Formats: sequence, structure tokens, C-alpha cells
Amino acid sequence: MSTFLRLAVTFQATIGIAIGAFFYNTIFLEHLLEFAPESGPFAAPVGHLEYIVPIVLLTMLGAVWTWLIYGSVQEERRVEQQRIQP
Amino acid sequence: MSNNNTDDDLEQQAESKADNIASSISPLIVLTGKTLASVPLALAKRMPKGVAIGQALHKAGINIIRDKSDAQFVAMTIYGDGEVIPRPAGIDSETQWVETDNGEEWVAENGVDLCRIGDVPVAFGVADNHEMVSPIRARLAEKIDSGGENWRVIRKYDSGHVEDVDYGRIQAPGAAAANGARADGGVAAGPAQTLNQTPDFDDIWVDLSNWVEDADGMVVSMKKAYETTHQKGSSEALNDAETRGRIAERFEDNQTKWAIYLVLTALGFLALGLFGPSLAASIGGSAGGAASGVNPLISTLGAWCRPMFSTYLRAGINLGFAVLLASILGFVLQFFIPMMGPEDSLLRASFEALDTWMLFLMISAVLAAVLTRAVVERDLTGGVR
Repeated sequence: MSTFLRLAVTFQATIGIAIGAFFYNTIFLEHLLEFAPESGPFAAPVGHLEYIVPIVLLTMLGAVWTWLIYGSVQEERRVEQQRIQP
Repeated sequence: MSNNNTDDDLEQQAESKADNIASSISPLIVLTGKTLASVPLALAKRMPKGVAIGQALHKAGINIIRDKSDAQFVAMTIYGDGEVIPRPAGIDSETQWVETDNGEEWVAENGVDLCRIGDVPVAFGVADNHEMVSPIRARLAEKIDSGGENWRVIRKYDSGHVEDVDYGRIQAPGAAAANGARADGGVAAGPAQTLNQTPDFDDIWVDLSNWVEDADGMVVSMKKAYETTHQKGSSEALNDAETRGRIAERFEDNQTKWAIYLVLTALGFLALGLFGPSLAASIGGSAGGAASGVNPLISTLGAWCRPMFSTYLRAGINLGFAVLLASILGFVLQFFIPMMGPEDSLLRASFEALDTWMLFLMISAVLAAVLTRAVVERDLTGGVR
């Protein structure tokens, strides 16, 4: 994938993750979480969700931006392999 | 004749049919348009926290006005018909006047009382060539206008004693003695005399409490504040100067961010320029063949640049694309970031950091690709040689 496409994918992914963060905060945290059971088998998983979701979102964000830079380097290094092994 | 009639009839029938078809289609078009328009409106109305979203959009809008115009603050301009329009504004360092982007000006020798919408400083000004106003001044004006019992003109003595001064008030004979205050210099009390009195005084104390104890606030009039604008003391002017300094500092921060981008970009290309000759030298026994009579530096650079030309071209396009995407992303994130939770939350802080550094990251990706390609070309050429 070219750097150009990689930039576009990063752009879309960032907006997607921002929308995810928006829904997490305005809908999950502010509206849905209050209905979660405070006791019972699902209490702990729901409680963990409150912390896991932002970490997952930020991990995805970091991965995408790292992939943008690392992928650009890898793409150019691939030229070397292609020329050596035509 | 009959042919003409037939043609006219056919034409009329065609027009009639066309009208019928159009009239039958037009409600469908109108309905479709209304439906399409109602979807986002309904979503906006039914979206949870619609008010909060509206407030966030408002903050983002004000932020955009300030950022995109590089203004020091936003002047909420109040026009004669009551309409308020936010305009980017700043203080001219020479004239000490507030100027907006469309040329409206206010005297600001006494400073500007700034409020804040989100992080953006805002000021209020009635569209007139005079001092700006503020909600605090408006409240002062309301209380001063509401009656003499809400404010006192006082004179201070070194002993700490404070004395009321009758300043411009109509006093009934003997009334001054009733509240223990006297006009300056023992002038005889009386309507004709006290009206024209302008005695010396040290300060004016205004009771800013609300008339109604249960009320949460007080409606104020900016126009009244404008009409009762007064000269401020030196300490207040100094505070305003401090505020202006803080605004200027924020303004500089914004500029600094973009300056860093430019410097980093320039450093990237400078690094390429510095690496170029050394790479060319490592490539370039063949290209540097001085025997050809061509300047060896030019020939080695040429040999290095030829395989890199397409890389430079792509990098140029990618850099332009990166700037475009970063601009769009910054615009979009301004709406989302305020709705990602409190300012100290991990999500919001991370996205704010990304908003600050995303262009740098994109430029880094492009430059990293260019540098990698340069190294690859050097290795390949060296290997062949």
C-alpha cells in the first residue's frame, strides 16, 4: 500500500475511532452505564468495560499511526527486495 | 387552418400532459427533500445530550473563528437591532483600539474585559465607536441605574474612616444629615445647589447582590453598560494589560506550533540535502567519473537524484495530501474532542495531543519514506557496482 493510501486509511481510522470515543462517552458512559447491574455475574465485566474501551480505542489509534510511519519505511525497503529478486 | 388547429391542439395536449406529470412528480420531489432534510434534524433533536452537543458545537465554532483568523479574541458585536455577531478581533498595539476583521473599531485605552467561551477569550461591544462593554460592567450599570441605595460614592481618610459623598444627587434640605453623609466642603444642602455639585471622591462602591434573593442570576443590559461606561483605575488597567499579555502568550503558542512544523519540515529537507552528497559519493564512483569533464558534484548529485526523482515527486504530493488531511482532521476533531469526556480523561487528552501533532506525524511518515528510499538506492547502486 502506498503512503498516499496509508495516509487516507489513517485519516478514516482516526475519524472512526473519534466517533467511537464520542459514542463511548456520550452514550455508554452517560446513559447506558447507569443501567448496568451493580451486582451479579455481569457487574464486573461491565465495570471493566469502562476502562477497557478507552484503552482499546487508544491502542487502535496508536497502532494506526505507527503503521502509517512504519509502513512507509517498509514499503520503500520492499523496493530493494524486488530488485534483488526480480 | 385545420392543420394549424391540430398542431395547436397537440401542443396544448403535450403541455397539459407535461404539467400533469410535473404536478404529480413535484410532491414526490418535495416529500423526498423534506424527508432527507428531516433525517439529520430528527437525529439532532433526538440525539441524547442534544443541548450539550449544541454547546460543544458553539464552542467549536467560536474556536474556529479565533484559530482560523489568528485573532487575539472574538468580539461579540451587538448591533442596533439586537443581533449579536461574533467577529475575530485584536488590539492594535499602536492605537490601542480593538479592531475586528470587518473594520469595526472600539477605543480600548482602558483595556478590554474578557470573558471566555471554552478556551477562547471573548469580549462584548456595542457596534459604536466607543469603549467595549462586559457583563460585569452591565451588572454594575443595572445596579447603578436601579437606584441610589445600591451604590455609594465615598471618600477615604488616612485613619481608615470612610465617608459618604453626595455626588450629583438631589437632596432634600436636611436629608444629607439623615444618613450621616455630607456634601463636599459644607455646601448648603438644597435641590438647586446639590444638582451641580461635583465633589471630590475616592471610590464608588456598588452593591452587586441580586434584588431577589431566590433568583439565580440577573438580566443585564449591555447598552446600559455602554452608556454608563466609566474610566477605570490604573490597577484595573494593569490587570487588563496582564490579561492581554496572557492572550498574546496563547496567540504565540499557536504560532509556535506551526513554526515547529515548518522548522521540522525544513530540517527534513535539509537532512536530505546533507545526506545527498554523501550518498552520492558512496554511490558514485561511476557517476563521479571526473574524466568526463563534468563537475563531479553535479554529476554525482545527478546520478543520485535520477532514481530518487519519482520518490521526491511522490513525497511532494504526499506532503500536500498530508496537509489537506490534517486540516480536515483538525476541523472534524474540534467537534468530537469536547464530547470525549472531561479534559483530564485519557481519551480526550490523547486526542488533543493527536490534534496537535498529527501533521508532524504525517510529515514524519513521508520524510521517513524518502530517507529509507535514499538508503535503499545507495545500497542497491553500491551492490551493483
